[in-house]
Amino acid sequence: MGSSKTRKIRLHGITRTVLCCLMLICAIGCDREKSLKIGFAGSLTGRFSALGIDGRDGVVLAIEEMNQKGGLNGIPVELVVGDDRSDWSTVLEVDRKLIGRGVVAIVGHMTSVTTLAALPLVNRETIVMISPTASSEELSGREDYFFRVVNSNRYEAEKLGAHAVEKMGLKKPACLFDLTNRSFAESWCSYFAAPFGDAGGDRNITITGFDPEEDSPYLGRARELLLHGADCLVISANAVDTAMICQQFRKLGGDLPIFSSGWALTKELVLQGGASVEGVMFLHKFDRMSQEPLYLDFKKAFVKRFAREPDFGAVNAYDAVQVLFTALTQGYDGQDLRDRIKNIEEFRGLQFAFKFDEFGEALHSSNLIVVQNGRFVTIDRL
Amino acid sequence: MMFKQSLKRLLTVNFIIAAILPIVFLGFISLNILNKSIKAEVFSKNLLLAKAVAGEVERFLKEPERILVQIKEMIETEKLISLDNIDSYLVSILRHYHTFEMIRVLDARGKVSHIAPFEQDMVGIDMTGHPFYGAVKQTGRPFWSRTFISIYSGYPTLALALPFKNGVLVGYLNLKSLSSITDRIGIGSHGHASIVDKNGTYIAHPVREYVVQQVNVGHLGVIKEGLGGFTGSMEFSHKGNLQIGSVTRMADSGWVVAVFQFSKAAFAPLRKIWVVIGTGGVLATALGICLAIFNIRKALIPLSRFTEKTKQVAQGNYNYGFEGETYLEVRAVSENFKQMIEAVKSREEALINARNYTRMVFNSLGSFFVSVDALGNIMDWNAAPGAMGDIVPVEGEKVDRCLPRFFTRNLDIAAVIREGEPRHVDQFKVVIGDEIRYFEMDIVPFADTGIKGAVIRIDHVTEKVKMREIMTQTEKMMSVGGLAAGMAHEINNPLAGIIQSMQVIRSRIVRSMPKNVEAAEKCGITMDQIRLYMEMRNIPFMLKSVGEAGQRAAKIVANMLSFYSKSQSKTELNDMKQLVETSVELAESDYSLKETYDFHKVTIVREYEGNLPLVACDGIKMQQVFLNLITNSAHAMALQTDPSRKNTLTLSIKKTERHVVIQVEDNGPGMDESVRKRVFEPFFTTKGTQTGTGLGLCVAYFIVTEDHNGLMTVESTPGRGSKFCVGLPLVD
Repeated sequence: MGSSKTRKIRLHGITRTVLCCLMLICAIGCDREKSLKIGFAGSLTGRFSALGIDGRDGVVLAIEEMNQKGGLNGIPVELVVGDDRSDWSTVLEVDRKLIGRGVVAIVGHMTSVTTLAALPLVNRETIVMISPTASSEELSGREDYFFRVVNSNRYEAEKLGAHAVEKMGLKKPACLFDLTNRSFAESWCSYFAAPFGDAGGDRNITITGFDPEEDSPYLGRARELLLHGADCLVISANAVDTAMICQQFRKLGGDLPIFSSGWALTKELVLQGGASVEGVMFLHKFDRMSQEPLYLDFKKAFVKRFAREPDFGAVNAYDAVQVLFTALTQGYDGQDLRDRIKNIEEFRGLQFAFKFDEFGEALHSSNLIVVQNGRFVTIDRL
Repeated sequence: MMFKQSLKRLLTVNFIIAAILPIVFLGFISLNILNKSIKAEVFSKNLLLAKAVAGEVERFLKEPERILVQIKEMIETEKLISLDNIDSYLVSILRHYHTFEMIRVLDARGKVSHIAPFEQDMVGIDMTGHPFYGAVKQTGRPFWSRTFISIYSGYPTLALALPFKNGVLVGYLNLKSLSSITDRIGIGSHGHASIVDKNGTYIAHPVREYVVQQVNVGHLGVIKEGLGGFTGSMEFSHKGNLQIGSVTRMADSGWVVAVFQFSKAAFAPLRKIWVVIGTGGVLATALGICLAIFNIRKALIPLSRFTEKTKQVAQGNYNYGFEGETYLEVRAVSENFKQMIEAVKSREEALINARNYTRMVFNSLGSFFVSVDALGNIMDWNAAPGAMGDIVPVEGEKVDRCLPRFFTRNLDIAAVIREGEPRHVDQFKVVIGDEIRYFEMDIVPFADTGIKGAVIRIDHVTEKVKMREIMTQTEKMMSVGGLAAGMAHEINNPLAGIIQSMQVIRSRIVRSMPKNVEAAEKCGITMDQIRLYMEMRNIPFMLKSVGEAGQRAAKIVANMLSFYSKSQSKTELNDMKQLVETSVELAESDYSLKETYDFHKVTIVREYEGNLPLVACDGIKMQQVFLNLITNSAHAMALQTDPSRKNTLTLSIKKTERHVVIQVEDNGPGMDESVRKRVFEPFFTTKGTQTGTGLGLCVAYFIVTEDHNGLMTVESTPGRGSKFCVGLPLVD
């Protein structure tokens, strides 16, 4: 009896040890599993990679900061990155992969055309997608799972067009847009040109698309623009293409005022454009000279982390992640993430506060920016 | 403090510890040394690799500078290439040296004057926005731009700019080939070499995506250290994995070459050694345990046997053998133990004898003893005398609950023990079965023994009480009897005179006596006249009454005298059964009894023992005694008012040690104690003067006690009946 009792006690001891080990392993295992995944989708390679990389780095910084604070409600946040290469089919592949990895939301895509490609999938999968930069009007007014932290391009383009007409007395714009991001670029030109018609300007407004992939696209386009006899040049393309067009335009002696969409509002424009981009005007939410403490802190942290200054892609992406964090942190029982974001009354962004309309679109004012001495200088707020 | 640890367990544990400790200790030391040595080796080897890569990259970067310098010399210094041919010259350079992706010549205003490969669009564009332009113009020295992703190739690219004439000669270096350098570094399956630029962005990595997507790892500890100028190796944790990172920074470019390897893979040999040592340790432990168990069992078997033997001894089996032990040590202990057992055995026997003797004495005391603790709980007791009836003491039970007959409610034993004063309870009645028995009790608290409690002694004193009663009765009867006899004697003479004179008076009034006639004539009257007168005055009747009264008084006096005058008894051997039966017959024919009660209505129960000896007695007198007792019982039962109860007279004769006892028991109304005590007294009667003289039982008593030296007692319970016992001594 005594020995069997002892054996039982020993057995209990061993069982207890094994159970403890199992629980420990389970606890460690469970802890590893327990993380909140956020997806980022954008073009990280190819022609639009500058914007994508900028956006990704903004997201990386936001998530690293959150994890340094101990995670979201104590849960570590994990970033899952997908490179859409600005390619329609890759966009869907990337988003499927992200959803498959269990992300709670996707920050992206960075261009309007890729975002439009992704919309049906995210709506079908009921996954919130919040874009830092896609501003095409085509994305507006939809009751879906898509949000963006920027205005529709219509707002900025029309205002900038109106400014050209009303303040600068311009009448005949020659517009050039990037065919590879047509959804955004062409509509932006159209919206810009609209006030010229309303103001009784020359009805012969030129809006031309170009394909940056074709041989020597810039010089030819510049020559065409000059032939139109326009009184201002309007470009809706990325920074490098905008810079190149400006280079060719100035090279040919063109000295008309140039207006650009916010898409080109990166340091790459000045780098590639040099003196040719002096005087180019933008209307954009991003104010590089902002003295907002939040932005200054962000900028400092960004420079420390990536050894370069952030562009609007990073700023907007950071804002987009913070919107997600806000919605995920606040407890709205019984509501899905989409409703939680919609219920955010006002979001304090890095540079200013904004709110979402009923279709998940950020409403904010914009800055009139002009390139002066290689710097983006805010001259007015519209 | 009790030491409860098992010797077996202690020995086993110690043995195992002794087996394991050296292995663990040596293993730990060896592993520690090995760990340090392998770690140092891996660190050194990886750093060497990093430095080798850095060397190769530096050589790779020297080449483009040399080419650009050569171009510069060819065009600017030697003027071997005319301005018109510069473009084609540059194209030929590109064709021969694939290092460059593009070469541009900027004029003094920063505009592109020459370009290879040639692109019309690019000629004349303003490049003053590029930092290298300003830097070269300002310093006049070669300038390495930061890496950027080429819009043409999509790969990290570097611009190397040299002052050229008044402008700048700039070559765009495709860094794709850097990855081919790092790819050549093979560090097992989980190691790789990579290069980051001075901002911490990958410019070469086996995973090309990291390069083209410009992943920045400047925040990683080891890279950060490398960018800060650190050259060396360190272990760090990244995404939950331990890695070894060896970094070296290239002085000119500020780039950092890093060699990474998972610690797990790097220290795989160490792990193998761990496994070998671990397995050896486990095997040694297992072997140690087996050996320990085997040896300890072997060593402990005699001890277990010895333990079993001592257990047997402890259970009282002193004859258990202690021989046959193989080990000297155990044998010596066994010998000593044997001697000890003998001593214990003899002491125990003496103790048992003493205890048995004490118990025997204790049980033979004739009294019932029970010892109790301070609360009155039973601790010990001796054999109870049979007279106490069935009593079952239970150890630990309250004595007053266990023996309720003997303890009245107002007897607080605990209080007696507390007070410490002995208490005596005198003669108390206990009904056991149908009998009333008398007991005495003494409660004696323990003397100063340190233990609180008491010894209670209960004595059966019924016989003593009866004896005392008989003696008292006898003494009383003797004195009363003597008094009555003396009084009778004194009365007897005058009474004789009265009776005699009465007889004379009666004789002197009869006519037949001549002297009476003569005396009458002398008085002038006749005897007839005198008789007539007397009859008229009822004198003859009165005289007769006086005479009868005198006779009756004389009879009483004679009875009274018989109390003390040992009259001549006619003693002979009689059969008591016969005498009793004769007495019953007399009672049945007794006319006076019939007047008051029909004796035939009484159920007579006879309980005569067989083989009763004959008793020496005066048969007539004893018959008188029995008749008197039976008559009394009949009279008593006549007073019985309960019609449902059948009158029963129980006659029993039995032999005791010294007497033949005749009992006459009725189920009449019985007597109370005051009547019972006086029932033998002369002239004491409950029947009234008409029925008896009050001398019947008294006479019977004296017949039994005085004439026969016997005993006579009465027991009675009111409502249940009375029992008279007559004991006549046996013939020797």
